[in-house]
Amino acid sequence: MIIDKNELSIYDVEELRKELLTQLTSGEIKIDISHIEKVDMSVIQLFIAAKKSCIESSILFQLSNASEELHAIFEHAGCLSLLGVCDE
Amino acid sequence: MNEELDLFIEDVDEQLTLMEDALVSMQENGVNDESIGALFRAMHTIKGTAGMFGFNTIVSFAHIAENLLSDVREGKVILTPQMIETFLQAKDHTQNLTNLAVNNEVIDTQTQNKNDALLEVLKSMLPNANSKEVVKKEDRKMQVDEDDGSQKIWHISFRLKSNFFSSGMDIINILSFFSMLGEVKNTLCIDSKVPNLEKINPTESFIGYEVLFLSDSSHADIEEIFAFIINDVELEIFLADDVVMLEALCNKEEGLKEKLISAGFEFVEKIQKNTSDKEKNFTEEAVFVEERILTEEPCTIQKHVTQELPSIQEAQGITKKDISKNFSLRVDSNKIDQLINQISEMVIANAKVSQRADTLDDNELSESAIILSDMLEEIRTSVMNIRMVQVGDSFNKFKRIVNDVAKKVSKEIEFSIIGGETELDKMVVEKISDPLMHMLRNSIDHGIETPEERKSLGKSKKGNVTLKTYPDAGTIVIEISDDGRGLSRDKILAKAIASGLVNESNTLKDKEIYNLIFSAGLSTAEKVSSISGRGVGMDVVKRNIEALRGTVEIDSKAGEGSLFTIRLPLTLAIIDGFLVQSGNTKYIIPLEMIQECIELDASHKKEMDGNAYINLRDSILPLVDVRNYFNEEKTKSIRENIVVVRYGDYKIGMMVDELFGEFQTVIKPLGEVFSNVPGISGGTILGSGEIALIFDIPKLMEHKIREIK
Repeated sequence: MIIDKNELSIYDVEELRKELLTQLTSGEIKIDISHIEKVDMSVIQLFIAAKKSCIESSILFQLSNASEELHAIFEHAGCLSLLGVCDE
Repeated sequence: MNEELDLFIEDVDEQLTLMEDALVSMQENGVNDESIGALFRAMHTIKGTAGMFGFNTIVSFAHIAENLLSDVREGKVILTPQMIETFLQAKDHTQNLTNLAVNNEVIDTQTQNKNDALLEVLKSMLPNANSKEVVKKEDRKMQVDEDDGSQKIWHISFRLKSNFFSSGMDIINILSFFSMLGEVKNTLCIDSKVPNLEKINPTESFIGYEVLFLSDSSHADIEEIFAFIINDVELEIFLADDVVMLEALCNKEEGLKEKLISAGFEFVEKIQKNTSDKEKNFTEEAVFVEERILTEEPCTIQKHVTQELPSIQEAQGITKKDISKNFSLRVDSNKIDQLINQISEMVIANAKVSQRADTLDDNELSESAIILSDMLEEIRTSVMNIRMVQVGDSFNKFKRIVNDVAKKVSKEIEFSIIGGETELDKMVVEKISDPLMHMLRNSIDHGIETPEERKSLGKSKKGNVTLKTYPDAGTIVIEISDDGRGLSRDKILAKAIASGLVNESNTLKDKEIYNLIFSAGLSTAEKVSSISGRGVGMDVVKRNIEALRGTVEIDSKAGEGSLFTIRLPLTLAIIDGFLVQSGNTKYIIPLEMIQECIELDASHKKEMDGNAYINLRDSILPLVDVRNYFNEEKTKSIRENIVVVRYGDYKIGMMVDELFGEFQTVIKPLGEVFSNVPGISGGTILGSGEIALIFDIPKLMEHKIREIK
């Protein structure tokens, strides 16, 4: 799944949750976040919720190709290792 | 623009105004601790709030200014007049940066250059610029009281309340801002309460944070970072080595201690050890006590426990600030306007109930309507009071403008504000600000003479300009006076004749000639300056004042100075009126302008002898016959009445047929078609559904005075 928005916020989380739920039923959640430059805490929280669901179902959760800006946001939010962001 | 950004703008405006007031006050009265403190707090607050919104340019700029102010506050640097001047420029620059930031505009080259230049100047004023730079991260050591003993490690623990996201604030900005005040040693995101994807309501927040923060900031400084969201988070701030607080925190949440230890919060490991030791001691003590219970002192255990408890509570008492204490609340003025409109509608509805009760002769209903009416009046007064502000807070900014203009035109001015405590509707204060500024500029630029001229005229070198405010007969009067050269009657008249405003055969009085300066396109200034003299201003000034239902008058004496008198209504929405009738129409007279009501009896009529005035206790009272003035039909009213009204120095008697008494009047505009009816300022709806017209007393007086002349 590729998110092609530059910015995600509270206004996008309802829609994003639906998409993540669809991904969850497909057996894994792999998201290319290279286009995203800014997220707020509601989005980070949603990623954490998605990861929890993946762990419960023993399936893969992966956020990949974070931009420099997003990387810094995750770092400030103390979520870098929590979300397991990786480069593909 | 969201609500938080609006609050940010308001907050910065307020802080910058405080800053300017403090600086101008020090320019006038010399440096004092109170003003320095105010200056420091203003810059500090701006830095904090800008950081919360991620406006890093403002933060970086404010940081240097704050450092310098901190040194001034501590007496390491002496605040010189040159420094005050620099801080005034810094204030303007911060305003500029704020405007750019909130409008999401890129910083242009000119602003950037100004920024760099000001930073250079500010840094050069620091006693040792390098020592005040933010300590680099890699140089920081994880220890309390580093270097000068002011560095501390703080533990900041906060949980977002479930509705946090609706606050519109992003906690990430706040987390980022910490790194500008010091070094974030550790950030642990507490996600244990976050539900899984299937269960989560993504608009609710479940996140929390534990942060270890090395900084020389105080508890209050850190708390201030959360100022905008203090009601949306559960917050604890304490020194990281405060074992009691750490223990209390860990006991509140299951598994938190383990999380903190595994995340490397080293002080928690210490309490782990502490607790084990304590438990061991306590067990030993308990055994010892148990032995004693069996023998002699049965209260020892109880004593031991009660000694432990207060220390925890006291510690919590220090860190948990009582957020329910008195606080001020920023409310969008539209919300108050809406409330006033709703009260207005209630007033009208209640008038209908009252009317109905009278028709039905229902005493009980009538009594209830009276009680409701009294309560509505109280609510109305309370709501109106919310909008009232002391004019001095807003007028203080003129001090700087006066200083700046005086410098530009090389004049010396003694500027005084009298009656700053007078209260006026905030909206009126804001709208009157520009006209006042224009008039003050005119006074300094054209009114006050140069020091040399003044000296040759035998006046003091310093010109006096005074801004005086006071309440009078339901209005607020603002006077701008100066002791300058006064208006040139002949020049104004010549210019007015040349531009066709009046003809040569006019018989205008001096005051009327002076008032011609409010006509469009009339400027008598020989030199057009950057300050005034283009003739596009005084007409706008008058229009703006009239738009507030106010009036403006001029009085002047050649060589002695000028006096501008502005009269403004206290409120704009509801007034206490006096209901009267003339012919078939009902009218409202603003109650506060009424001096008395008298019957127009036969002796008065005899006295009048066809003239439109009477002798009222040995003074002539001009009369306005409302019936004639508005071409009302004649009625068979037995009694004729005179309502004596006063506005400023003038009094007139309004001849009306019926007097009904006090009436809470909701002012409704009459619409464009009737906007120019002379003597009528608006309308109101009576309980019966009838319309009553509200008299514009100043306009009626103006007409009457003109008629007499």
